[in-house]
Amino acid sequence: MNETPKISPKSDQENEEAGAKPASDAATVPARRRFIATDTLILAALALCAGIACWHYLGSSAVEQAIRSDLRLILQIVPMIVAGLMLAGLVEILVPKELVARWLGTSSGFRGLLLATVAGAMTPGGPFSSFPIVLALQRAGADIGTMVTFITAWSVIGINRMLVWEIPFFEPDFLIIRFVASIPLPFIAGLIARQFFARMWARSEPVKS
Amino acid sequence: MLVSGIFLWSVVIVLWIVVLRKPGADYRRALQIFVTQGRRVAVRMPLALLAAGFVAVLIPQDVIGSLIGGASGFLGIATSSFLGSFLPGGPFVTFPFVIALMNYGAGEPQMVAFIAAWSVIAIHRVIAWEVPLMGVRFWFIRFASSAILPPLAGVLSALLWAAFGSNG
Repeated sequence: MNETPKISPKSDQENEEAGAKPASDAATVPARRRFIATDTLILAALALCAGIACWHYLGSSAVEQAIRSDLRLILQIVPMIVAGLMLAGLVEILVPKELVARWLGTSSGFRGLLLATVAGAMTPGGPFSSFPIVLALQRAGADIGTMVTFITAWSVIGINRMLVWEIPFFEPDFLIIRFVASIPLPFIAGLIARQFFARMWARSEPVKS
Repeated sequence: MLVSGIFLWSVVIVLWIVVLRKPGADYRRALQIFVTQGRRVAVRMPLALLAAGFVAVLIPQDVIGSLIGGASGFLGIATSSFLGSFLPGGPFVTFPFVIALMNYGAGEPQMVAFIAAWSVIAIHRVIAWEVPLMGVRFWFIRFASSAILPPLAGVLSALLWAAFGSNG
C-alpha cells in the first residue's frame, strides 16, 4: 500500500546513507523493498506472543490494562517524537561531517579527547552515520583514544538521541542524572584505549600511502 | 511532559528558522529524513510499546524488584549491565522496555547502567556495523576500554541520585 516498487528519491537517499555499509550488504539489497521489514515482523510476533501469554496467565483484564497504559503513553509521546524526528533531519543537514573528521583527526592529547566527546555527543543519526565518521577520523590521523571516545560519546551521551527519544519517555530528573553520570564515560574509555591498547592498534594500522 | 514538549518544539522552530535563512541549506533533505524515519517508527514503536508492556507484566514483579530493583545495589547494577548489552534494536524498542521495567520496580541507577550497556556494549550493533566496518581488533580494543563503563555509570548515578534525586 505504502511501499512503491519503483525506486523513489527517498530510497536513493537511503542507499546513499547506507553507502558506507559493507559492500556485500549493499549488493543484496533488493530493488523492490519488502512489504513488511523483518524487524517489524519480529516485533509484531513478540507483541502477539507476549499478549497471548499475558491473556493466558493473567486474564483479559491484564491485557486490557496493558493496552490502555500503552495507548496513554503513545498519546503523550507522539507530539514529542514528531518534533524529535524533525530535529533529527534538521541537525543532519546542519552538521558538516567531513569538517568534523578533519578537525578532530589533527587534534591530540587531552584536548583531542575533549573535542571527541563534544563531537561524538553532537553527531546525529544511527550507526550508519557514526561509524563512517570513525573511519574518516582514522584516515585523518586520529589516534585510537580519540576514535573510542568519539563512538562512546555518540552512543551514550548523544544529544540527538536525547532530544528525539529520551525526553519523550523519561522524567526530567532521571534524564538529567543519567546524562550527568554518563558524561565522564567517553573520556575514561578513550584514556584506557590510549594507555593500554595504542601499541596493539598501531600494529594493525595499514601503512598510509 | 508539557515542559519537555514545549522545549522540543521551540528547538525545532529555531532550527527551521536557521535552515530556511541559511543559503544553500537543503531543507528538502531534512524533510526526507523526517519522513523516512517517521515511517520506520510509525509501525515499530507502537508494536515495541505493546511487546514491552506485555513482557514486563509477565515477569513477576518481585523478580524484577529483587534482581534489578532499587534495593538490589551493585549486584543489580552488574546484572542490568549484563542484560542491557544483549538488548537488540533501536531506542524506540529499548526505552519503552526500560519504562516498563521501571513501572514494575526496576531501580533508577540499575536502569542507567542498563541504558549505558545497551549504548556502549551493544552486541547487535557490533555484529551489524562495527566488526564489518572497523574490524575485530578495533572492536576488541573498544570493548576492553568500555566494559567497565556501564557499572560505573550505574554507581555514579546512584551517588547522584542519593545526593539530588527526588526520592533519594
